[in-house]
Amino acid sequence: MMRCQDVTPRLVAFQDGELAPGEHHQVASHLRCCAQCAKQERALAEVTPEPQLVVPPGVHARMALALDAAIAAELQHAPPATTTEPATIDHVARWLRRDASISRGALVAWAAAFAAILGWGLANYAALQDANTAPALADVRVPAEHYQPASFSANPNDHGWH
Amino acid sequence: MTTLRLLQSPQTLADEDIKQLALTQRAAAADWLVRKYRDPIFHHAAYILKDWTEATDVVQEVFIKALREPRFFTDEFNMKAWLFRVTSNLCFNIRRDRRRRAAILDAMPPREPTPADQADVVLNAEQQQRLLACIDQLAEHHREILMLRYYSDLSYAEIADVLDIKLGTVMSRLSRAKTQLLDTIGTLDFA
Repeated sequence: MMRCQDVTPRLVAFQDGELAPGEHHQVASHLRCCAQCAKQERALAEVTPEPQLVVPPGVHARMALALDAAIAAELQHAPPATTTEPATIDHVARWLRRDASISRGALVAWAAAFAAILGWGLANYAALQDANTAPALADVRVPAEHYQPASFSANPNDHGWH
Repeated sequence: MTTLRLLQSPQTLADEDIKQLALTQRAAAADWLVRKYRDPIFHHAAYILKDWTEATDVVQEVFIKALREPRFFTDEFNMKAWLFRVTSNLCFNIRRDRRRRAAILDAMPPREPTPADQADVVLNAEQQQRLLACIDQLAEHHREILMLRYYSDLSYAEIADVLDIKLGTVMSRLSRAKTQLLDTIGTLDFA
């Protein structure tokens, strides 16, 4: 339950409908219980301007004519653009964002994932290259004291004939 | 742009579409930009200045500045916030110049304002007229935020963009502005 000192600074935002739903509910609940804050809320509502601009006839038209003339003069004297076609990367970026509805954050995430996969692939490729250059089994030298022929048997009566 | 989009109302045209058009047809993009924002900017200036001629001058200056701003039609640029911010700054500069001129020319007989120039901001009832007079007496940053919210009907998020402040600051500043307005207008017992 909100206290008065929490509700008071939120009253204007409450009236303007700019509070998050949870906060709005809490303020509304408080106002139902607190006569003082409810009175303050009514007073603030009474000082909400509701202006209505009375535009005399012709004012808009004169303003629009003057503005159109100023804009036309500005565009006429504007320096020529250095490129009339956007860079290809802008086209691609716009196409991805507009047609595929992909946000900039998603694009960055995809790019990072692609870079990670590429890095993993390159690292594995390097490891594979190392494996290919490893010495053949026949070239492995075994020290004599560790050498045991395949037919070796610890039984002295076993001559290897089975 | 499809033909269908070209026939739509300027107010419903997205800023992104105007930026897209600006890539290849700058004049057409400027035309759509003006049609979309001309009246809101003009009204915003008129509310602050209360003078149609000065408001017309401000609108021209704002759109000329917009076309000269190199970043204006770029993807990340917030066109609406920039237009309202520049309009507010120009209008408040004009008001400050008026006050300085008034102080300097205090000894001279005052010039009678042309009735046709005066922008009548009519409010709904007598207490609303008093409100308008009280708003004029507030500090500039309070007056500005009240006008952006209640006269130009900007959301809190849009006001945050225009004033380049945080959303929480918009809430607290508006709250203080209305509280100040309540104190200034005196005791109005509507209970």
